[in-house]
Amino acid sequence: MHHLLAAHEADSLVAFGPGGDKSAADLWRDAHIVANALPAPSDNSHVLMMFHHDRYLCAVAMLGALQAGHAIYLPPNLRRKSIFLVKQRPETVAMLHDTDSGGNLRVQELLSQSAQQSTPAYNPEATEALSPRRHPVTVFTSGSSSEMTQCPKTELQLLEEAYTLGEVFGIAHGDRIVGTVVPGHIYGLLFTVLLPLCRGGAFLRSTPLHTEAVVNQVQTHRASVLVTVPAHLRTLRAADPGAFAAVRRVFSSTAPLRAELAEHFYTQHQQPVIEVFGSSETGGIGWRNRQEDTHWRPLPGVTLQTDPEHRLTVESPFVHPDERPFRTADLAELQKDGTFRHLGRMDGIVKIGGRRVSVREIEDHLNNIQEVEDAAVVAIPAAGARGHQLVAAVVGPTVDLQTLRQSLLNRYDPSVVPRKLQCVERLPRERNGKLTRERFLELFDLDANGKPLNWTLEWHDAVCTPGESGGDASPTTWTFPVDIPEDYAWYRGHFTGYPIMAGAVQLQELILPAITRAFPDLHTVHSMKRVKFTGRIRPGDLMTVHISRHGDTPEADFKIVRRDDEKMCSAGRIRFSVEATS
Amino acid sequence: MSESLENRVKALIVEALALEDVTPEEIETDAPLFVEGLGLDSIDALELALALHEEFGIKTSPEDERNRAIFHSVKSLCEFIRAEKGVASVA
Repeated sequence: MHHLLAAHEADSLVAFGPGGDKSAADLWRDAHIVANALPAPSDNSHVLMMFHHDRYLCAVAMLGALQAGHAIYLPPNLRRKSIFLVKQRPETVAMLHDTDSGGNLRVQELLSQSAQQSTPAYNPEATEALSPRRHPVTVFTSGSSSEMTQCPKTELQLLEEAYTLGEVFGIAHGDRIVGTVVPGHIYGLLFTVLLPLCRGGAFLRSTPLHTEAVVNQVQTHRASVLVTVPAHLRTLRAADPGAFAAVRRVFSSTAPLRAELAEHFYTQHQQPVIEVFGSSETGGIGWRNRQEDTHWRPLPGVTLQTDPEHRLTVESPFVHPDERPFRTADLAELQKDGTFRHLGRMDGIVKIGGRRVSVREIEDHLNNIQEVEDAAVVAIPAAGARGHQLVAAVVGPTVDLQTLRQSLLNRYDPSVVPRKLQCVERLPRERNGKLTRERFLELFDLDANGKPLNWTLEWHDAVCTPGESGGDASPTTWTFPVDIPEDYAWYRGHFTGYPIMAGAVQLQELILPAITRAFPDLHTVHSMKRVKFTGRIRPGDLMTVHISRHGDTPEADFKIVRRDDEKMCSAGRIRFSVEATS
Repeated sequence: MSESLENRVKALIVEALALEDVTPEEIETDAPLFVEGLGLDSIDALELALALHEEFGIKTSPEDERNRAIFHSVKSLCEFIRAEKGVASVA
């Protein structure tokens, strides 16, 4: 891995920020110190990296472990469970970290206790053979599962990609990279560690999260590159205009970036956001400049193909040699000019806060719990950085929702645990066992898009004209202007493509409430006469309900008329049972 | 009666994070917001920071260490808001 440093002179900066500047010679020396502290390598020996705070120490650890002849594991996140699972593996012989607890090999201590160790002089020439290890680095997918999918990488895969990214985006000596993403994830590893190192640039040691911290670090250190994700771009909306004007490149990846966000960022800082599309398995696939491009451009060296179902296959030097061509779960449409459109995924995987979540897997987890007889989980769009959220329903008389929730939390990241979790008598499955999204979401009073169903009409001020008694008696009349919302829930399924407000709905929601409002003593229906539904009431229509009653008769007439063209839609007379007064 | 800052912040939390099964009254002023307590995650932290910016005009600290302390609980959030805005203007 000393190819990484070949572009650096001994005193060339590799890291800056909290903890102080570090040069390539520092990195070289510190990596050797760490290498000396590790046990001797064996057949498949791996060292686990657990770095919460310092990207430089992470790089030291990685290079040190590789220098000592080990391979490295980069866990998908820093949750106790994930770390534990990887640490447990028989081939994991040590763990290097920068936390306060954690025992084992704390890198700060190794470095401060190094006394006068002699290390070889700085000499990262590429005369070094490529690592003898087939897979010197293993990353994991940013999945929701404790059965993390591991992605072993060859040295060539990573170096080729880091170098290519540098070429395509013009990142080289002197570039200073700030990342809001962790170095253990493929995106952070490539863009905030490997890329600056192999191209002669430097990276910020810390990983700022909040807006002001990001702005502060970018400005204090005159960063030229910002590596971030849509969730962070969203909160960076709070940054002062021009805060990022001095940055040359802004990258976004791991989740789709909404056009408004990219646009807002550009307006505020005159910075086009460069979106990168890829995955832990395939490495980078394509990119686009949100200000200039609509479609994605494949990275150099990447060849794409789609099958008749639009399923995307990737052939590139960044994909593991044994897996080329790689059949992704992404759907795409290749354009004649070589660019492509991304059409979504085919496998029920959604991204929540940039993390890949298998909805099916969460459902299986619930179904596997003893007390659960049936379960279903669905993803609905969610606002902001979240992207999606999960909605779940379970069946089981002895189910305790708190226990279920805890069971999920023990295994999955909190952002992935269904926010809505309900226990129901039975799931509204069809005869064949299939459960449609629409019927499922009805349980939560939501429509197919996860929006709350609208059952409310918009009534306006009613007008009453009292009747006169006597010979030429005129009825008391009431007019009730009422607007039918476009998304009125009673239209669902009645009928698709031709919405009609059912007579029963008109009676229940328009006519009877109006009559009872006008005449509170008329509330128990006795019978109906000459009720006719002659005109269609459509979503969005503005109607008026006219009610009239002669004196005290237990009958009321109604007419429902459309306001703009006075079309009569429904009319009739309803007789009520009147309670005997004592 | 003007609403206390604590209640306003609790209402903001419920609204900005779209918490359906929690009412502002149920949020304890002193309880941790993240990991334990309400169990919010880092996405929530950022959403909340944005909402606070939009509601109170305040900015997070330039240091993330400091931000962790600020966002620890409703109480620490309110202390921060008061310090930033001056006690008089927020009640």
